[in-house]
Amino acid sequence: MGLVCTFAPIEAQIGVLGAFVSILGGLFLSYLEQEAEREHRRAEMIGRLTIPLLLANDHDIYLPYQAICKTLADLTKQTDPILREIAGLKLASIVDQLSPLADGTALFAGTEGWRTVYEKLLESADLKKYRSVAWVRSKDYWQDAPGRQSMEANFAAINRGVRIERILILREDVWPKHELLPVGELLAWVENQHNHGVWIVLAREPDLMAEPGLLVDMGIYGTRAVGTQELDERCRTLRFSLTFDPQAVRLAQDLWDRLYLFSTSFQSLLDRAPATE
Amino acid sequence: MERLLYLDTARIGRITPGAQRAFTDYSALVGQEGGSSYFERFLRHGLVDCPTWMKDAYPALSCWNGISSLKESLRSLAASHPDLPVLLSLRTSQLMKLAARLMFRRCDNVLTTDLGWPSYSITLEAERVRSDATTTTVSVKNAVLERGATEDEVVETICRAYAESRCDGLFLSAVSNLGVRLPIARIVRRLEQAHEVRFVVVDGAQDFCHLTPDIHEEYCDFYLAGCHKWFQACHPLGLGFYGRRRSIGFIENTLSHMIAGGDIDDPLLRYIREVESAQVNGYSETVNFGPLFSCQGAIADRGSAADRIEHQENQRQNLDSVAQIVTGADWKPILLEAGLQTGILLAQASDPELCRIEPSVVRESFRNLGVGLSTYENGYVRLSMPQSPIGREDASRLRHAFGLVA
Repeated sequence: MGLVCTFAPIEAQIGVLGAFVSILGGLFLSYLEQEAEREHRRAEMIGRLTIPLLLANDHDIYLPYQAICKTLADLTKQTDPILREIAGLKLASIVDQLSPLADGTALFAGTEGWRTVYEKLLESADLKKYRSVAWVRSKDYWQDAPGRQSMEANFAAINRGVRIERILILREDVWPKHELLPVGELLAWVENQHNHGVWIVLAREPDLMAEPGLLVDMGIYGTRAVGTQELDERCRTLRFSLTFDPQAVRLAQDLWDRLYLFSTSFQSLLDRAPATE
Repeated sequence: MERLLYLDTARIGRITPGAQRAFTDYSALVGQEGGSSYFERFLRHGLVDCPTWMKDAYPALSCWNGISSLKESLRSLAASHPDLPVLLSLRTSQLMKLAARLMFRRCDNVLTTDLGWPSYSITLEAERVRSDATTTTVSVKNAVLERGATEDEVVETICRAYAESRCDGLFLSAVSNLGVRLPIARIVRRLEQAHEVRFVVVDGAQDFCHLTPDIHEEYCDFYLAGCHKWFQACHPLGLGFYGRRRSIGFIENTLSHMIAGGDIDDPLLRYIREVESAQVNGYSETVNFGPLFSCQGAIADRGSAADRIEHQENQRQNLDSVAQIVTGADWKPILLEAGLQTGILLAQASDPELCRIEPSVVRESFRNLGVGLSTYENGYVRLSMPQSPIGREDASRLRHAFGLVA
């Protein structure tokens, strides 16, 4: 390079200088590419760490997270493909179950287990008002042991200062059109709630046929959560979903208000009832 | 002994002769019998169930025929249905606790006015906080006492506030301690036409045996009263009337729960419930039964329904006479529209100097001149009209007293 600079003609010197600059440029570009790759890897690593860092502040979640991580790490040591396939299916199922919870909704299917959560909500100190809509499609509605226990939880909540309002949607057979009050054992059930302080409002199911969206079975827990229940014809729980979402609560309140327009308070019916009834 | 012209029945009524005699004989009976089996017989059924010598020894107790008979008489005085429940308690505040609990079990927003009795307002507020509910207080006092608002205006003001604040319950004083009558039945009927009225409690402390409670009209769910003011039984005894088909079960249930949980702690109330359910607990707290007998004695002095109408007419005429007397003595009577007027007259001193004097000093001055009345800040006095006509001598004494104190 030194000889060229000293003895070669000017054209050769320019050529050598060009080659030199090209080499330097290539080296610089290569450096930039490597730096970008390093940055990408660094970001990826930090991204992976974000979740544990986020969870570390949440003790209730972090402990199960650690347990799951350890289990998954152990799982990687299993090499049998059938076992890994089973594990994969199981993991997918767990993710399916947890996803709604992460979105603020708890689902209970084919079980009365939801009542435990229901009662826990009624017991919570910050709950001061509970509104429920009970679509009574059979005389068995809430007459079984779990139903009776839940009703006791209602009464206990009232005694603690919670105001409970309930709209009962009643079928023609339990509240015939020509009758002022519901008939049969259902009347005693309704009156018992009324006497315990539940504000009872009645709606006739036939009156709501033109508004099918109002035919629901739900509970509004203050401004905290909404529970929606799906029952079979014998009033056994098919599915219960509990949503902790302010928007869902607002929608449920709107529904309640609309339903209230179709309803009559049990108290006003008692005002009109003969003393002997 | 100097005769006192007593115009302070709105504070505490002077014990009637019948109540006095009954209480005296009760003391004598307890002095003789203590808690003997004869006493228990007497308590349950009256002297008819006791040896003959007892009837002769305690004649003033011949009016006592047991608790259920007492309740029957009280129902009659309150114009309640003959078979509806009445609660008796040694302390009215215990029944007010029940009333407040009932209100806020049913209601989100209870309307009340600034004419309510302050200690009841405190009880109501405590229960409101417990239930995280709302109270809407409507100002009507100044409108009535200072600007002369009419009955129609009062009804309109209360009903408008009820609608605007989306209230669903009422706690109102039938007659305030300052003598303003609220037309509660009219207010409730009007509200019920357009709004939900879930529960109505009426404080009848100044109404019972003063005006004519009309509980049978079923405009209120719970009517609260006492025996030591216009009823003149002297010994405090709380009365709670209820029984509307729509709320009787609810009230019974809440009461049972509050007694069981200790939220209501009144030995008489508890004892009577035990007797009525035939489940007397022999180891419960000793109960002071005395107020029951002065109450029964005072009932005998109330006279017939016709007498009570005459008493009210006398009160009205007395109020007109007294208003003229105080006006002549340079005091200003606060006269309300007929629908709001009661047997209580408020008057204010015209002299600004007198308005600045401590109320207790003014009260003492009137007492020294033979007149018993209540006094307030800013030169106000409250005069409760007697139920018999004020004679010439009393009118003269009153004119003299107001003339001197002015």
